[in-house]
Amino acid sequence: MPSEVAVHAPAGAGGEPLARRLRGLLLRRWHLAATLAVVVLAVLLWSWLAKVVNPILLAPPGDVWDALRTLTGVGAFWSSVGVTAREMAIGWAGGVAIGLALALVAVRWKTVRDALYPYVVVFSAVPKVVLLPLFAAWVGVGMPSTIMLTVVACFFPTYVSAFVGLSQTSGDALDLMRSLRAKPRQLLLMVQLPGALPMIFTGLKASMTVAALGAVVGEFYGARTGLGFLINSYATNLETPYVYAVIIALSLLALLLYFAVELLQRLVIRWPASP
Amino acid sequence: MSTEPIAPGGAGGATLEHHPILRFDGLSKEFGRGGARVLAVDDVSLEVREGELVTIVGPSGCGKSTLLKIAAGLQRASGGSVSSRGEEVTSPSPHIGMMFQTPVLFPWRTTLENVLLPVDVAKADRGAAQTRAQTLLDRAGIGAFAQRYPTELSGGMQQRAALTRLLMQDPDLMLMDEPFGALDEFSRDDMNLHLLDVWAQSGKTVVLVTHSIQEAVFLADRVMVMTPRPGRLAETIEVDLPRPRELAMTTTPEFQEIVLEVRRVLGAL
Repeated sequence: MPSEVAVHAPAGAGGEPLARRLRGLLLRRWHLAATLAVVVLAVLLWSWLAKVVNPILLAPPGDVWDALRTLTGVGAFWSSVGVTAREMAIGWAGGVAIGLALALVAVRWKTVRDALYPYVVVFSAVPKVVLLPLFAAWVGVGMPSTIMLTVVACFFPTYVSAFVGLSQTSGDALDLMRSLRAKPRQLLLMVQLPGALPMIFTGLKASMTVAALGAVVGEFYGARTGLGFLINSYATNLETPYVYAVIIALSLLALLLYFAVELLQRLVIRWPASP
Repeated sequence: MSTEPIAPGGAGGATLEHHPILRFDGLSKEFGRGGARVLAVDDVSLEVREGELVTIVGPSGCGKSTLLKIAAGLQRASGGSVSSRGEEVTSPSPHIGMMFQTPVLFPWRTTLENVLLPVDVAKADRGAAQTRAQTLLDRAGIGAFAQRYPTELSGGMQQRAALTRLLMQDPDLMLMDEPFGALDEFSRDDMNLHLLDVWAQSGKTVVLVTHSIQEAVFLADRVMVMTPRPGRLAETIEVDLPRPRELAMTTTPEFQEIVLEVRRVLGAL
């Protein structure tokens, strides 16, 4: 047996000295306490400021809480949540699918890569929001144009990270697969794609944050429902507590969908991370 | 020996001599174009016999890795020819396998699955292969780590797994490109002994490239010494030390003599 076996045996659970575990627990408690303290301080500061500043600009926390409770009892609010969630999910899925497919094709065929490259660079520089009026004209305001914007916005982070991830296969790995006379398809499926998964998921998560942005901005432009529409109309009517309440709801929705992707990543990438 | 193909018009008795498992004939390799052209390998001719363990030693940039990749069919020569058993090598062949300085174990495959890679690429059935892979891993002393992921293995164990994968591929000619160059001295000694074991048991032909003179002499039947810019084969040195070899041998005067000779060739040019 090689001498290094014992040294490099993976560290199992247990065996950690009690003192160190206790210290870790206390440290974690301390971090938690510090995090909570920040929240408490922020809310206190917020309450105090709300008394000084015009309530149209800054709604007091209590009013926001009431607004949230009112909203959660209204069916129209929940249907708006549903609309925005669907726009984000569909737009994300569409953009991600196109981004992944094009990245795969670009990595597999050099001609496609060279043909695509200048357009990707130019198009990625365009602020996608300016395309919204065009999309509205093509497919109609509201959900259709919002989904289209979200698709376009999600495409880029996915394409770029997938392309980089798929291209970073080491020369030795390529040589090994060639010496085993692997077909290009085998190289892609057995080496490049699994190797790119961590990078791809980075892109998928970045795309989800962009999807929230795309959905809300899309709804600002002529939509009749959705959380972006709600924020816009409450702001127009100077109902500031409701604006805040919807912002909080939107943040929670975005966080939820982000963690859904994170969960997917944990289900797909089951091997230990490379050091 | 009678299984060796008879060359058309060739003299029967000399057939084996003319169909070595690896043969370079006036091989050269250029990189780049026009004014930026660099001659990496210049007029290298050599023959490797069946079952031999040949090492190629030389400083960085002498083209020894290039030589190996051409032998593996991974790169094309610019001039001259490379053949194996009388057939020109132009692309990777199933009876020629390669091992690299990095172990190239895929982190999403367990050690066992990594060893099974050649089986998967060949689209062969895993069933029987799995038993064989486990046996080979056991023999390599890492059988207990079959279900572990490579990131949980030490550098030396990773190269053991890479060598096991090469044995799973089962080529007649094993080309090894500085396989132990990144290991610490202890793991390196360990791997050298392990390789000699594997080689003696399998009867395979090994061509190993290294920049360690000690390692080159310790392993080899013959050491080919290369000098850089352009990469040329300066000399071939026979190593007539007895086998099986042991680490203690490296301190004997006979061993040191050969090491000195290699140094002399490298220093004189």
